[in-house]
Amino acid sequence: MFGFGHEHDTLLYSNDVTDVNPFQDPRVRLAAAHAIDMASIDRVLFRGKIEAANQLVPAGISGYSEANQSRPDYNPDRAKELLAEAGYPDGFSFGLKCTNDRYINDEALCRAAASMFAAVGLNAELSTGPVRDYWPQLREDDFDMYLLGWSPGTFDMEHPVRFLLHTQDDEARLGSWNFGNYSNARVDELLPLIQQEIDPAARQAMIDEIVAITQEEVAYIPLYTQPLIWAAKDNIYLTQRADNFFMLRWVTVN
Amino acid sequence: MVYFIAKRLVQSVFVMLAVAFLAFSLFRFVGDPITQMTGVETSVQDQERLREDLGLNDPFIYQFARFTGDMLKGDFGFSYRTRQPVAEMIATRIPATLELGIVALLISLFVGIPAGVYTALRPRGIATQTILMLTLVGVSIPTFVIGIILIFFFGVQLGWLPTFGRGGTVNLGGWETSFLTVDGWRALILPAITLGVYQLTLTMRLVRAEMMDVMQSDYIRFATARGVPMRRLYFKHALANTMVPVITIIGLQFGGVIAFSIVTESVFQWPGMGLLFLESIRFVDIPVMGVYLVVIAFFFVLVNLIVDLLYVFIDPRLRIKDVS
Repeated sequence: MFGFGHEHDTLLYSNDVTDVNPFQDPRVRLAAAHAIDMASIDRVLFRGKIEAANQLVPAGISGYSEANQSRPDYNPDRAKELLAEAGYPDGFSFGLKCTNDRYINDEALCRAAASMFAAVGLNAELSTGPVRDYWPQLREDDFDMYLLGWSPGTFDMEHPVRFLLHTQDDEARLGSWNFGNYSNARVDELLPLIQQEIDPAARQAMIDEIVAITQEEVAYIPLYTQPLIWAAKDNIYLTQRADNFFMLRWVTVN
Repeated sequence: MVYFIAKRLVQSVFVMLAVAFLAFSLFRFVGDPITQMTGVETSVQDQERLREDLGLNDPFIYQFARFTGDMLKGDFGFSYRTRQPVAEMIATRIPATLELGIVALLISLFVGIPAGVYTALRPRGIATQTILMLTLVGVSIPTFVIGIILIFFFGVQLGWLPTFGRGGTVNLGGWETSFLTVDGWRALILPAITLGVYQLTLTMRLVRAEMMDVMQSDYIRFATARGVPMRRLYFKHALANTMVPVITIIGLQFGGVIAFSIVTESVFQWPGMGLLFLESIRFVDIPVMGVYLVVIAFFFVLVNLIVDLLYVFIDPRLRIKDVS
């Protein structure tokens, strides 16, 4: 997913917009989302192996919101319309920060995304670096837009809500990976309720509401679910876990 | 002689200190070890507490003093990545790198020196021109490309040799050796050739240049005039005199081969110190990086000491003066 600096009042890496942060306007975020052509990225970069994402967890994870399965489609004209509406008919420049050794094809993906953004007028200046330098930079709010991957450690939707969508609250240990500090009062209100609700239907309804809100506000641009690519010799039988963890005890060498 | 060696060893301590100092001052820029060590669920407070406990917030001088103090006591610390003692990790990897380096060195010597002598004595032959051209190719192609080409031909296409790893090793009292099994040798050949190619071409050209130079010198002319047999002339007189600068270069190169076998070890997934260092950089494993660099510094000093001692052995002129 691509994240934004929701709390940043200005862009840090822009050559033309220095007094406001256009990404604070949901229309601009939506425009950026419409600029991305996931089908082409899938075909060209990932050899058809990825699944385009529409929310912060893929289908099959507990809490996946069936009711909110649509992602912003690839529509550069709509993107330009939205930008014009928001007051940026000629677009603007900003900095896109990515890793180059953390996710599969992360650098290639960001280059593709940068050129797709440029096609609608959002001139991204791409900077990539190793992941060991990445997190400290994000923690220090040194970005305009950033790439992030997330694996829900509890295999449940509550996990990304707690870490990525809740307002940053170091005391309560919430929103610790929400670098842009996306903040919505209703989402904050619903999180403890989700954590305590036992009835699955009621819980799913609350999760659906959260997903609807965050999709509408484009808290993040969901990109894709990373494929699990493992290779083994013919004489090795192994079990592939859905979270990509490698368990030596589940490997048989014949 | 003993005084000479002792003086050198004392100097080596200063070299290691200097290297440790430089390495340490760079470590603040290699990234954040805490985020590499901890998972996503670790709270910011816990990360700060870990940072404090590991002493990463202390001023540079304190950290450096602690590091050198511990090393002098023989305590090399624990790896951030594997939680194993660093000394153990490096010690288990040393045999792999040393064996690879030694075989690469031997290949470069046994092929490079004869080739150098031959091309010096027959400068206009076809064979000489071919050899020179091949070595030019060898020195221009990057190491990893040579490695990958070798893997492709001998491992993938022909299937004669394994494409990665060390194969069967035999444990000789803690030293894992590849030398005692056929499987070990099969795994060793390609990485050794890859690592040795650059050294080989350098040795060959150096021997050639030096030998051609020596062949013009007075004592060779006089010996020829006196009727000394050609073979004796070439090998006892000419070659021995070319070896002095060649040994210096080979010595320095060998240190480099051991220290920077990183690329070859990475291409062949050879479990040596270089690969360990590479992995440590990725994970910002500062204890391992620090100890590795100091060990390599010591190794360089040792190699240079051996080279200097070999001089005395080879060049009689040095034996006349007082060696100090």
